[in-house]
Amino acid sequence: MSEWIVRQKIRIPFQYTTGRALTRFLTGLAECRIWATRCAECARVYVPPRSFCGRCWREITEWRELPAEGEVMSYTVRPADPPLILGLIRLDGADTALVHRLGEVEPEELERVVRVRAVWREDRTGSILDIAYFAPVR
Amino acid sequence: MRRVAILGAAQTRFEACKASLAYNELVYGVVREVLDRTGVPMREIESMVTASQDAYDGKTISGMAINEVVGAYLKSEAKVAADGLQALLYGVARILSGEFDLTLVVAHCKESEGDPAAITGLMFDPFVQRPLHLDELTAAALQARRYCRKKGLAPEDVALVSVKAHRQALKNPYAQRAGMFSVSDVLASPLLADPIHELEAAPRSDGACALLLASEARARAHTDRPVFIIGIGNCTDAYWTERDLAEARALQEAARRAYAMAGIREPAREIHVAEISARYAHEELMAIEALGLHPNLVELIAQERAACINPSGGPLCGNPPTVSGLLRAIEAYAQLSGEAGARQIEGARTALAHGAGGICGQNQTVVILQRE
Repeated sequence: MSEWIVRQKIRIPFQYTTGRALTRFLTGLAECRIWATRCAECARVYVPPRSFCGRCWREITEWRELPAEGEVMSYTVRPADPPLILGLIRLDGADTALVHRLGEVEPEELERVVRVRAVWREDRTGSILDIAYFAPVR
Repeated sequence: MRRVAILGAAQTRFEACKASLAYNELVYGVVREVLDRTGVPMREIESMVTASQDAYDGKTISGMAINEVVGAYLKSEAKVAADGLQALLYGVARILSGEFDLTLVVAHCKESEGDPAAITGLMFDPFVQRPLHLDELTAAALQARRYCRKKGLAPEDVALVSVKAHRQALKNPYAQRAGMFSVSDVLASPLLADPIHELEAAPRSDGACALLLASEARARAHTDRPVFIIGIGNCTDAYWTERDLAEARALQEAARRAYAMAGIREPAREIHVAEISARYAHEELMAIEALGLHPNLVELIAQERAACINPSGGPLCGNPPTVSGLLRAIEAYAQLSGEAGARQIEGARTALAHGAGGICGQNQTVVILQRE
């Protein structure tokens, strides 16, 4: 049987509209502030913020600022040099998780890491990467 | 009420790279086989539902690229860009509507053609998650650790799922990966994303499958012992970072609906064989629990009855996303129609097929099949 392959690359430039909730969240990050929304019905606190609560099916209009510190719910280490460590972080006062890199920690120490805090970049642009990583609170 | 039966089914052998056949040729092969087996001519099939993903096919409206091989010209055709078991759900609904007596359901995927990490990365939120280069594997690893911590499962417990799957796949001529691995073999295979090892993740895979649905009247004219679809449940949960990943609430709810429709009260006793869409080993444990198939999942995996769960080996032994859910129904049908060969579970009368889609199983489907 014959095998013949055509190689192509799909590239589609895209500009995503962030919308109301994420605009406030992302521009807040540039000021080292973390904005969340709170559903008036179920009291769930969403961070990153949502404009709508899917559980209650209602619009959310209440904002609150959260501390840049929380608990590691889970983590994974992907082989790379250096290894890439990603965590699921529940910020204090939040009911959802933020995914981010974990830093200032070796893979073998991760089982003992409970609390982490955001380490901010100097040159912030209004991006999730304005947080360089989350570091253990020692 | 109308009832829906399965008349016949076919699948390709699954391989890491089927480089000699284009995806429409894979699809033609399985459709041809279903028609040959059932003796139903294509002109009698009035409706088709296909499952494929634009990103895996590298082409938008990917269903249109296979319409000639599923026989859809000037007929009613619809595509789902989701797990193949959802295509089955829509196919059943088409027959229940009374509009059609026969519906062909087909799924295909060639993971070898694209870059799975880049493609699954497109599932993620582009604002706060994609900049971190997430993919399906990374999210699954975060779920695996959260689930194992909450349930107190050791790495060896999860590895046992892989041992069982690959052992059972030795009896499945369509399987891509099979073997007598030990727990230490599994844990010694390369770590893809801690805690998931290579043998605990579905390998990159190419293949297709097809199944022919029929109304009860049409099925009775065709066979003395039809296999009916007696229950279906589907449920969607919150986005993966907005729910506890240690819980499978959407699957519990999908199962509750399917069991209620099928009149099943004690699934652990009444389900004789289950085919579960676990792309990662921990997902099989989560599903056994959520489906109520056994009170103690680790105990179950270690014992003989475990053979009734994924006798085919399941997706861990190789079958691509989109295809895997529909293939679970095809394997369940093979068990009930006595066509499962060396992997046959004797005396199976009621079977369960499970399909999942989205990040960390956000969307879940459960189908119950029964031989008359």
